[in-house]
Amino acid sequence: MIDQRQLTRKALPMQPRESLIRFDDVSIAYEEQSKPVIHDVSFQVREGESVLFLGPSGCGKSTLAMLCARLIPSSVEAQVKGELHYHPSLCSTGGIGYVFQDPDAQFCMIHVDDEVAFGLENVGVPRENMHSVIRASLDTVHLDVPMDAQHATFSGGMKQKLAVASALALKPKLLIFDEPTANLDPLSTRVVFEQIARLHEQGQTLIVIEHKFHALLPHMDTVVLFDRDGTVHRVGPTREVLAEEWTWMVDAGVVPAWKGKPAWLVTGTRSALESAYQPMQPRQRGRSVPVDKPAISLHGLSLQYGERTIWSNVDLTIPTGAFVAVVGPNGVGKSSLLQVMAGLQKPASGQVTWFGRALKDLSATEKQRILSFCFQNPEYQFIYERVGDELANGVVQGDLPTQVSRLLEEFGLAGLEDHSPFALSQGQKRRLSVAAMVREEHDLYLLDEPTFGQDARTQLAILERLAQLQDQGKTVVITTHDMDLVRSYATHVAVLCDGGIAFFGSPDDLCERPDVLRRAHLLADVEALDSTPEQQPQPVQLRSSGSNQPVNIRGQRGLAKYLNPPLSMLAVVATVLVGIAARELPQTLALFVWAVLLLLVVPGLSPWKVLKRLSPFLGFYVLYIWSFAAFSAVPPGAKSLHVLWYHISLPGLMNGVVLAFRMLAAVAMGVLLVASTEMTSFIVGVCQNFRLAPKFAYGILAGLRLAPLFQSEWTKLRQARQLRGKDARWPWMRPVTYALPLLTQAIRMSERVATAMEARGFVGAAANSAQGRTFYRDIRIHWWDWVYVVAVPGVALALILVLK
Amino acid sequence: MWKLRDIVVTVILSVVCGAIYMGWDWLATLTGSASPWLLGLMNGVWWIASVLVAYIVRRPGAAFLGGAVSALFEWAFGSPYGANALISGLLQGGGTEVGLLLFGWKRYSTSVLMFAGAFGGVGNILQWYFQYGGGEFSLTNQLGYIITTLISGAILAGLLPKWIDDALYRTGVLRNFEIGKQMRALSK
Repeated sequence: MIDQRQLTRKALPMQPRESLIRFDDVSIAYEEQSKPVIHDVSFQVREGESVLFLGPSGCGKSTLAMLCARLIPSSVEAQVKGELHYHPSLCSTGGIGYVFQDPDAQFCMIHVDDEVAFGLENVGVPRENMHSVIRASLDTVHLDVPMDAQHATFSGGMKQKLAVASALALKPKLLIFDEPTANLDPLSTRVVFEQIARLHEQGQTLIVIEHKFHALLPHMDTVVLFDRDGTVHRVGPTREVLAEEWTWMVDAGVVPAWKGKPAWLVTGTRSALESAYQPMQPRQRGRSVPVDKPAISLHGLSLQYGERTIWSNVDLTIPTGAFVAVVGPNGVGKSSLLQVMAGLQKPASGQVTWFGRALKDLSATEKQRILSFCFQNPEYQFIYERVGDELANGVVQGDLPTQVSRLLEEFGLAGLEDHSPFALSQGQKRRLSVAAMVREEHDLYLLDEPTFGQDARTQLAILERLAQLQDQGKTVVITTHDMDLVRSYATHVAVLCDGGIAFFGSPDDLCERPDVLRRAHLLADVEALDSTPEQQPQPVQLRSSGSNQPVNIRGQRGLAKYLNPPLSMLAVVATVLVGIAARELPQTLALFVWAVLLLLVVPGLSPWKVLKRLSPFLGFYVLYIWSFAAFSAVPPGAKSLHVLWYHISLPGLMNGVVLAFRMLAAVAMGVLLVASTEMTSFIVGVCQNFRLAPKFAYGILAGLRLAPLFQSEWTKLRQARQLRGKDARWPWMRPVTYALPLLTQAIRMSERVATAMEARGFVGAAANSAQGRTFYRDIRIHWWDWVYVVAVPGVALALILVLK
Repeated sequence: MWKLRDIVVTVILSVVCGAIYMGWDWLATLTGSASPWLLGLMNGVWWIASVLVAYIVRRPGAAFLGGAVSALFEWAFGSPYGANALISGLLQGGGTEVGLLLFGWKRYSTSVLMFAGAFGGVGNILQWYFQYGGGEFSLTNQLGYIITTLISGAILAGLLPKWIDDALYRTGVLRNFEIGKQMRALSK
């Protein structure tokens, strides 16, 4: 079928293809009365066409793409004016696929097969067909992983492939990529680009939003060029538009000034590396030459996470006044190298010195004076609720100091001083974090991906400021993926790959070393796409290999395999409730024994494992028994000891022991449930067997999947705060001071996940009732489940009655 | 009508609260072994999720769902209360829900939220009395526990989460939720 489409396209190149989308004078505003984000836009998308959206950040590209995907106004509320025409084939569920920017915010399940199946369930694909469709979609994107792999362990590129596979499984008429490589390194970017090129060849209709578009250009038929104010500057064939508008694009901030013009535009060829990559001449740099005095020296450094060595034998001397760029693939440890340099992270071995002094000999205040550090996500650094306070590094009453107002002016933040830092746009946040960084004078400036996710204008502002610092003799170290930036600004470049420093020297010398460039895949994102065979980034770590266990009993052992998860829960809760009636020691003891017995039999835990699982609670129960010994009503005639306000008595102690065993039995029953059910099956089971609306069931799963992200956020927050000397004085105060950044991030993620789920057809009947969708996992209730539900609390009740 | 994003946000906030409860379980029991009055004062933290969520999404059932889901996670994280934590969640979330229901889920002023928080305490007291052996305590200890729990519910489970939500609202991330809509309508 695909071949045929391709055939038609080639045989009749001039035949006008059917229009899938046509917009006439469309405007979009997010709130009534507010300024429209998109103004009077007219364009169309034809079948088989690939359309590239280009424009500066905040120009409304994504908004228009969401309108094309019909996510506006159903999932994302907005006011739309103008005429919209959608081809009927786009209007059915799954007619449009959408791949979002953030690989972490578009999944809602835990395992690979469940993830792809989620979309299939939404459009009602019968269960028996799902397995083959899932396998086929994974093959289409060349994602060779076990079906039961957990995608949380994937690299960014693999996650985006999975997102594409999930979209393709629904056979969409139109596929939209919304900055799919924004969070990816050059090699993963390339993987995604190759995917896009392949889809285009197969005749898939595409809309792509992309900032790093050079390598994609030969595969895009049409360009829609946006202006900063949300109007369309020009629509037309790619080559024509780019050739004629390049200068305009540089001025408008669509491309950074230091980016070379794509070779494809000049020569028309798209094969050899040399012709594909023609950087501009280096910026007028070296206004101040690094002096021959080491600012940072690293001696024999190595870093380990647990058993895994990240890098080792790192020896590096950074001269004072240098502008150093650290480059290399994702996951190679660039950020951690920067953090070790900054003393934020301890190396496994080796030594760091600043200006000839060992880092461990410097006091915290000295370090704070010398070093300024900028995290990749600026939000980690924000402490105050007002931009003005943030920049002044303290709560300001009345007028802002002049230095602060000057900085606001310089970084284009004037007028925003009373806003919350978290409410700023991405570019504004980054500018604020850099402004805060240069507020006080330091000697070392370390920045982790300062240009990440920024438009050309913000990038230029930041880099110029850093260049200025370097001119003043300061030392600047950044991590980046942008080789054009390296050529234009850096005096030194350090290439980190394969667990060590592969190169350290000037950018010009690096260009003479194609071996290093290739080994570290430094140009993978700008090389022409068909010049090298596809390289597969390896999964970071696959927790489970491909087991052949049927999906609905995945990860379960013993008798638990045969039990219905929601009914297991019911059995446990009923038993705990029955336990309330136990009031004597033999009764509660018997309950506890019953629970332990179940633990041994149902999930098949060994006695040692049972002990291990229950041990954390023992200390808790000592306290618990004490409470009763000290506070129980003392029966008349019983002896009691009065100390302060305590009345310690033997009957009270007995009360405590009795209740402690009752509680311990409840804990063991809880462990029973956790050990014998798997979360996905449990929640999907509640939906299938007990008719919980899928919206709630899958919403819970999606939220659950986001939970582990908190841990990494927490670590980064702690580091950022310690750097500013603003960490909570006591560790237990951290939850209070970290709450705001952590929660804002969580809420933003929830919104994105919800939109992504709706984009995959999780609307209407599929989301509202269990009958409105099919299920990949077949969770059933058998007669023995009912026996289990009656027997587990039944035995508990019998024990209580017999031992009365 | 519940939107998907309301549900996801409810769950994610409940996960955070579940982790807090889990820490609180140990801290409060340690302190609570000094006096039931003190334990009562600390109680409110165990149902902050209810008002935290309900004030944002403002839909019937939000307080209950927040209470239930956060308790589920508290249990899953390894709470020393085990499966009892779930019963707490149902009772305390249910109590807060009743508090909001009495105002038809229409009013979310400070006093209403404090009232609902205190009502969540009723759920806590029920479980304490019947399941955790509160009935065995001497009368003064019982009274002390009940009074301090209600106060704690109003302040820690009513006022505190409202204050957190208001701070979140100022960051702009809640614009698309019901809280944002109602606040904007109010300021017009």
